[in-house]
Amino acid sequence: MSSVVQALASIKKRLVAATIFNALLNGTLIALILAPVFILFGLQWFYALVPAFPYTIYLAFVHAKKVRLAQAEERLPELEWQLRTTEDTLGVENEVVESLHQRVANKINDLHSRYLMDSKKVVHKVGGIAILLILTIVLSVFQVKLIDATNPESVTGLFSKVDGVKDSFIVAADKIKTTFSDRDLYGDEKVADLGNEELNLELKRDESEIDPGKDQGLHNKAFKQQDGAAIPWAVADASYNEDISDEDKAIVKSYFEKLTGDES
Amino acid sequence: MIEMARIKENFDRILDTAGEVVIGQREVIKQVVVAMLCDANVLLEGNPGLAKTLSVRTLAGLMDLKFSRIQGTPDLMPSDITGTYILEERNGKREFKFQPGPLFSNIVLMDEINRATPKTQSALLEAMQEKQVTAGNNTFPLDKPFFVLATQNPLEQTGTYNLPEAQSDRFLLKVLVNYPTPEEEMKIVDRYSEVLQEKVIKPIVSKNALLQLQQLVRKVPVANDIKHYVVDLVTKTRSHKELIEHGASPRASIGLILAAKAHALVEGRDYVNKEDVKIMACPVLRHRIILNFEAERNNFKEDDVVGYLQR
Repeated sequence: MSSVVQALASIKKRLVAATIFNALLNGTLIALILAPVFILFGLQWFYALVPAFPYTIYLAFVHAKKVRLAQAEERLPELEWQLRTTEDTLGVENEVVESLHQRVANKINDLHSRYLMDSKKVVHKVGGIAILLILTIVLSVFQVKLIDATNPESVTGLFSKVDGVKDSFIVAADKIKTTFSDRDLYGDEKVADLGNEELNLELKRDESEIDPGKDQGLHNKAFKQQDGAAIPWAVADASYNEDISDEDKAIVKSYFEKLTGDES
Repeated sequence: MIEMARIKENFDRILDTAGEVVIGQREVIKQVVVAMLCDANVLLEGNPGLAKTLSVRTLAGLMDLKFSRIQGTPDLMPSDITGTYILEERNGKREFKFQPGPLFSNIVLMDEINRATPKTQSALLEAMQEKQVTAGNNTFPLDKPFFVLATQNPLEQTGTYNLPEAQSDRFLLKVLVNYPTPEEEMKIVDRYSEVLQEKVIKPIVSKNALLQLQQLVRKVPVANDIKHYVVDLVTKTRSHKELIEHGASPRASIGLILAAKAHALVEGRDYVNKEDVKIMACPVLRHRIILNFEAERNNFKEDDVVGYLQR
C-alpha cells in the first residue's frame, strides 16, 4: 500500500508544480502585455512587474490549494475515476482494491509530468510571450512613445494638437483671464469697485411723516421737498457710446430699406 | 491477484452463448446477470412472447443452477409454491414428510406475479427476503444462491393484484423486455420456423464460482464522489415534487451502488465509474418512484423523469 500512497503523493506534487508553472506563464504574459503599454506612455518597462508579480503569486497560491486528483484525471482519461477511487480506498484491504492500487501505482510511476499540462495551451502561451518580448524590446530600443506621462506639458500639448479644437478650455480660460481687464468688462473701474462694495441700508421710520394708523387723506398730504434720500442712478460711461461711422450707418440703413422693400 | 480480464471474458462468453439461444435480449440478460451478482431479485415486465422464460432458463443452464417455473393464477395457494406435508408410509409406519415446493430451486421464475393472490405473493416475498420457507412449525432454508425473477404482464390488468410499492421495492431491478428489431425478428423466424435444433448449453460458471463472484462484487471499490452522486440522485426523487409524488427510499441508494459495482465487474473493471451508475439508474429507480398527475398528464414515463434528474 505504501507504493500507491507514494504514487498519489508524487502525482499531487507534480500537479502543484504544473499549476505553479501555469501561474508563472500567465503572470509573464500579463507583465509582457503591460510592458509595451507602459513604454508607449513613456514609463519604464519594469513598472509592469508591479501588478503582474502579486497576480502571479495570488494565482499560484489559490490554484495550488485547489489541486485535486480530478484535475489529473481530466488530463489522463485512461485513469478516469481510478485516482479518486484509489485515494478514497487507501485504508481498505481486499483483493479487488489491491489490484486497483497496484495497477494505478504502476501507471503513475510510468507517467511523465508533461501529460499533466495542456501542451497546446502552453505552446500558445510561450509563443505569445516570445512575440510580446520582441515587441517590448523593439519599443524600448527605439524609445517609441505616444505621450510622455512624466511630462505634464506633453499631456496638455496633446489636446492642442487635436484637429478642430484650437484651445482647450483651460488654456482658453487662462487667456480670458489675462486678456480682459475690469474696464473691458464693466466700463468704468469705479463701477466694478462699486459692485464689489457692500452697502448697508437702514430704514428710519421715526423720521417719516406718515403714520398709516393715524393720518387720513394721505393723498392731499404735502410732502417736504427736501427730505428723502437721493435716488441713486447710474450713468453709462462714454466709452459705451456707439462709435459707428456715418458710412457704416448708411450701409445698415440701406440694407434695412431693401429688406422692408422701401416701405418706409 | 484478481484477473479482471478473465472475469470479463467469462461474462462475455455467458452473454454471447445466451445470445445464440435468445436472439435480441442481450441487455435484458446482462441486467439479470447484474442482479444475480448482487444476490437480488428482478421484476421483468414485457408483453407475452418476448422470450422471458427462455432467457431465464438459458441463464440457469449457463450458471449450472436449478430452475423452476411457477405460473401465477388466482387459485394458487401459498403451499403450492412453498411445499406441504404429505402423509407417507415407510416401513409400515405412516408419517408426515415435507414435500418441497418449486421455491426450492436456485432460480424461480414466477410468471405473472400480479395474477397470484396477495397471500401467495407474501409467501414468495418472505422467501425472497429471508431465504427460507416456513411450513407448519418448521423452517426450511433455501439453497444458495436463490433468485426470484417475477414477471408482470402490462396488458390484461383485469383481475390482477398489483404488487404494492412496499413489496416491489424489494426487487433490485425492474427490467423492461422490449420487442426485437426487425432484423432480430427475421433471425427468430428463421430459427424457430424451421427444424428445431435444440442447442446444448454447457455451464460456463459453476454455482460456487457464482457465490464467489457475489462476494467479489461487494469488494469493488467506489469513489466518494460517486456515492455522493448516487445519494444526490435518490434524494432528488424525494424533493422533486413537480413530477414525483413519492420518491425512492434509501434502499434505492444501496441498490444503485450495488448494481453499479456488479455492472463494473461484468465490464471487467475493478472500480466504478459514473457510466455504471447512469446505466443502472433506470432499472433501479423506475419501480420505486410514483409520478404525480402533472407528469402523467404530460405523458412522462418513469425513465424520462429519472433521465431528467440525472442531467
